[in-house]
Amino acid sequence: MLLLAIIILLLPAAYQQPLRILLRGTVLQPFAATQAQLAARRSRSVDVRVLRAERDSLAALVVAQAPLAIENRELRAMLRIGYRLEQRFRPANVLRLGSAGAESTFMIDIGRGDGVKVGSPVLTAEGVLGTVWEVSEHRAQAIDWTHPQFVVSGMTATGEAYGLVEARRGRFREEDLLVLTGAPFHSDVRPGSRVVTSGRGDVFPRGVMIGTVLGIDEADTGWRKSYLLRPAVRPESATQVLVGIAPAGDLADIWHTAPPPDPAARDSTFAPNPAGAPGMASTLNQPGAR
Amino acid sequence: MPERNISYGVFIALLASGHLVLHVALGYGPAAPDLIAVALLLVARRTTPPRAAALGLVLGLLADGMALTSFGATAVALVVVGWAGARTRDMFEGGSYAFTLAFLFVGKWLADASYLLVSPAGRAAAPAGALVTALPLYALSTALAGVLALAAYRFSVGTRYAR
Repeated sequence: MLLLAIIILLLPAAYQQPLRILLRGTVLQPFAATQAQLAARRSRSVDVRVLRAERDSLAALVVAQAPLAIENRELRAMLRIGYRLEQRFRPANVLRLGSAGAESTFMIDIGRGDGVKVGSPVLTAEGVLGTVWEVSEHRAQAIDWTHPQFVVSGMTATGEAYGLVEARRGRFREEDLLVLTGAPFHSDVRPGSRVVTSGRGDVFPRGVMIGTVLGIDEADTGWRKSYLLRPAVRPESATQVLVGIAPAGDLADIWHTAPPPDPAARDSTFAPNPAGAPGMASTLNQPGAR
Repeated sequence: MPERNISYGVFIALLASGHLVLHVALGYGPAAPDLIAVALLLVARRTTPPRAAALGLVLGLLADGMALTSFGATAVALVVVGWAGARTRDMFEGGSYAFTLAFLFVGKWLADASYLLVSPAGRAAAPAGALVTALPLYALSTALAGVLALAAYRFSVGTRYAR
């Protein structure tokens, strides 16, 4: 029995997956479905006053922007440009998992049938939460930013420093932070500076909030610096998320970050790969890439 | 006697289901009692080591069903604990609540320690010094829940001891 258990443990993930899917689709299905129903019920029991306040704010915004929308439509008609694809994100409820081996992960109640793919970005109103790791027809499992394998390409909102953002474990989960690694040694990013997604790698759209700088984490003499970040999103507080189902481009307007143009945008190393070949850019944030 | 075995089997199945309700349906984390470990350890006191290990494998795979990393690590831990738990029948005799509390505490701590040993992802996710800080607390809450469940079972079937 011990040998069999060890063999299962050491199997490659691709061979473990059918067994996991079998368990989730049979014995565990009623329990997972119960949590999905509870999450749906919880999302319907939001305080009406909060909803009303949000609706009023949105109504004011829509009224203020109505003339712009009409102008935009007329200009697009004159130039014969089609409407932009607005269905780039799908809303989803977060389902928490309390079992062993599911640390730093969560389920969402949409899946392949809704356009979710492995590597789809998961965002909240505050910023980056995580990325989808495994997808079934109606559900998906994602890792949040506290997962050791989470990585996103980031930049300061001023465009001063670019690098990779990954988790830095604290003694307790509440102390988990993010760290921007690989920033140039000459960069001098002040505490309080905002760090956003850079869009490099074509996984996360550009301009989404990641966190704010707390201070220098590490400085390799003459080579690079790392900065500790306070995350914009605490995973335990996320109940509803947006899941990217199509390339979203630049979302800086939504998070009011307005970063300058990417100096490496013309660099073939980081440019989107038109042929779809898995170069460095397209594999940077993919699950299992590290 | 067969009726007693059937009722005990139902009790164990309820414990395993209760674990899945707490950890999968309600999403409570490791602080919620590990009723699968309780079920396995209670069965281990009444069966042979190979059977307890087999049950540990099945229950471990169930517990691992939602795991994204280290799939099978809980199964390895529960096989070890199931086998060791059944072996204690040769060393210790007893069914008192105090003995059961200590047995469940040690068993659950051993299961968690085995899990951390075989799961790098589990080690990364565990708080610093977990073996002497968080794990004993998880083991205590599990042991208390197990003793309460056992008391409820004994009360419902009208016996002082389950044997």
